[in-house]
Amino acid sequence: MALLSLHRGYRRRGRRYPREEILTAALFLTPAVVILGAFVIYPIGSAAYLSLTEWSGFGTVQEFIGLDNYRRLLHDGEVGNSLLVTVLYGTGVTIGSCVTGLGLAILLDAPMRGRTIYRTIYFFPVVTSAVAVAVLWRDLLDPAGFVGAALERVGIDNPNWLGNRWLALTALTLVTVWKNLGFNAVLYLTALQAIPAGLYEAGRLDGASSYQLLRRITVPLLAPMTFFVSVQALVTSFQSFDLVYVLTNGGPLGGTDVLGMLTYRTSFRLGEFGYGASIAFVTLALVLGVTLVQWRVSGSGRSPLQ
Amino acid sequence: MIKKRALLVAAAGAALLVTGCAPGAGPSTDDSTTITVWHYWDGANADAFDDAVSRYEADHPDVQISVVNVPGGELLTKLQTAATNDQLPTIAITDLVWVPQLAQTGKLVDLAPALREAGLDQDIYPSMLSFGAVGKQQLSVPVSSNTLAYMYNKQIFRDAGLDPEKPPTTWEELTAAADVIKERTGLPGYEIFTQPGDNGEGVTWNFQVNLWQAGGEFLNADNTKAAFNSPAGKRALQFWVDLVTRHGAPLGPWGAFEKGQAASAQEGSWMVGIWATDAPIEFGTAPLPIPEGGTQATNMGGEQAMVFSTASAAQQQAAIDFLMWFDSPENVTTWSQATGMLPVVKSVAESNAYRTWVSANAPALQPFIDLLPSAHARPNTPVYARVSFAFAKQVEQALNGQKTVDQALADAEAEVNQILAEA
Repeated sequence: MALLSLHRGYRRRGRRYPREEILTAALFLTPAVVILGAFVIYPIGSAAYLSLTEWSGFGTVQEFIGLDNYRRLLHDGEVGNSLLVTVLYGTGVTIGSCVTGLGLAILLDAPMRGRTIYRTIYFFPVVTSAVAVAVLWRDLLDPAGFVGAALERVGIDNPNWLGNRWLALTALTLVTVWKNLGFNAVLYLTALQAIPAGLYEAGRLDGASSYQLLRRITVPLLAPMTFFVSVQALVTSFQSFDLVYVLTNGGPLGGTDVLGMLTYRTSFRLGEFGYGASIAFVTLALVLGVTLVQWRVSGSGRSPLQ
Repeated sequence: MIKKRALLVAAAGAALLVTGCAPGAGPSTDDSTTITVWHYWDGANADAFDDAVSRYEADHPDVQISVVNVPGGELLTKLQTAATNDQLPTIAITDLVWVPQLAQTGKLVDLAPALREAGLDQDIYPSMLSFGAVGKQQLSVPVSSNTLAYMYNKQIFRDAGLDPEKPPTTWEELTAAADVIKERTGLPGYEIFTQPGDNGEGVTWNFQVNLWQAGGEFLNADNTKAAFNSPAGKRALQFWVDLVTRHGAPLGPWGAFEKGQAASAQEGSWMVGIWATDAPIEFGTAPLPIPEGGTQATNMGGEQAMVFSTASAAQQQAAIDFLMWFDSPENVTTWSQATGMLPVVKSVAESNAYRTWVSANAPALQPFIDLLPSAHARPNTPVYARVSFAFAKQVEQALNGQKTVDQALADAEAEVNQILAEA
């Protein structure tokens, strides 16, 4: 593949590369091609084959059943539920990430004492392992935990966060947004600092209010970054597993049963490896779809400055 | 060319040196056999197992046992990989519910003749042998066991004005106590598993206890059809629904009792070991409360050992001999005392020596041991995991008021029958 495109490249430009250079290029490409092939391409191919079979993980028989697994998932209520949960979760995380990321970036951009310290603190959850974050929040959201005590302090009855499907999904979304907040804020911060100060100055001279500056200058100029943050948030939430696994284990009533959970459970806990692989391909299709949309739209997502 | 040959000679010489040295290190020469054991025990249990291995090796100088600890979460996957690559150990010790799945590899050695010869077939509790029983063959032997019993928080009982030495003995007493506790302390009186999580077994294996107590069965005798959609099943599920809707059992992740946030629960005997030092609560243990007109029953867990036919004949023989030694009354006594796991043989569980040891060192274990004779086994079917999850999901629906008891059991029956039909 890589060699072919290289070949086409030199033809189009009408120049001839010496033979050795092509060989050298091939030599440099080989490690990457071999590693990608062995650890990415081959597993995807073998998972694709697995999804066309029925295999318990132990039996000596791995029966080829064609598209039966894919037919089955069309009528599987669990798959439908997981798609709904994953899309709701992805949407919630995306909106939450953009709003909080931008908000915090604006706060951290303002001149104040100890700005670096704040930036560091908000970055802690990003570099903390998802499992540790999940264990922490599971305890905080416990009926006898800190969140409940804090809410009761201000006169609100502590809701049963992890015992109700919609509250659990809300909690999971908020925890995910919280964990990624520092990263999104840093992304927005770099974009903020790239906005020429002169624009604000001109705006202020024209008598624009702070809100108008935000609405007319900051937000439009951050559009490319917003696009990046949202695609990033959407794709990672579609692939999420570890945080969900520890925080809610997919429950209650399947309320947080994202596709990653369903794939893991079906394959490794319930011993249906073929069917689990077909569910993984549904996730792949979803992520691929989002990425394609990103490619298409990224042209129009360019900054008005460019 | 000459260089290459010189290299070969050197290599061969080195190989000779290495092999020449090896026998000198061991106590015996040619007939020494090395077997490998994979298990997932850690901490004190792993130490106790290593200790048992060294005692066996001391008596059997011709056998070397290499023990590999694989974390619990990885053992099944590792065995799966090993089974496809023929890299299996001689012995694997796993959770008993994995036995039917491992039997699917077709690589387990029949242990029935050895058990008969050692006289263990009559001494081991029959419910423990059912997991590895395939026809007349016995593909696994229990090496440890645990049961479920009633565990309660004495301090919460006291706070509610209840006698901490008089735990409830019937379902009616249990719900009455739960009401008093809820009213006087605000805490749930009894906790049950309400969420299936990623496998459902927390719900299912606890529910089975109440089902059996009410006189029901989970699957039919040959594991081809669901049997829980019965009057006993409805009674047991109604009991659970009432616990949640009328008697304050919390809907949420399991763990309130263990954190001191609920007064009692059905718990495993392993908790006695975990809480032997630094118990976070002052706990008592008791037989399980039973329904009016019901019988006592409990569920059984534990580990079982399997020997793989991929090993050489000598290794298989050594492995079988080691396992028969491991389940001999003498070692079972030492092992049970070191780990707090329950004895797998009646002759130890009922012996005065062991009972005296328990009352002196771990009196909280006694109710769990007393429940051993009424312990039932979970169905021995390779699709048990799917059955368990499908069932638990319907129980969750009923507990959350999404379905009536009748509807939940009927739906569970339909799903389970379909899974069993595919198997």
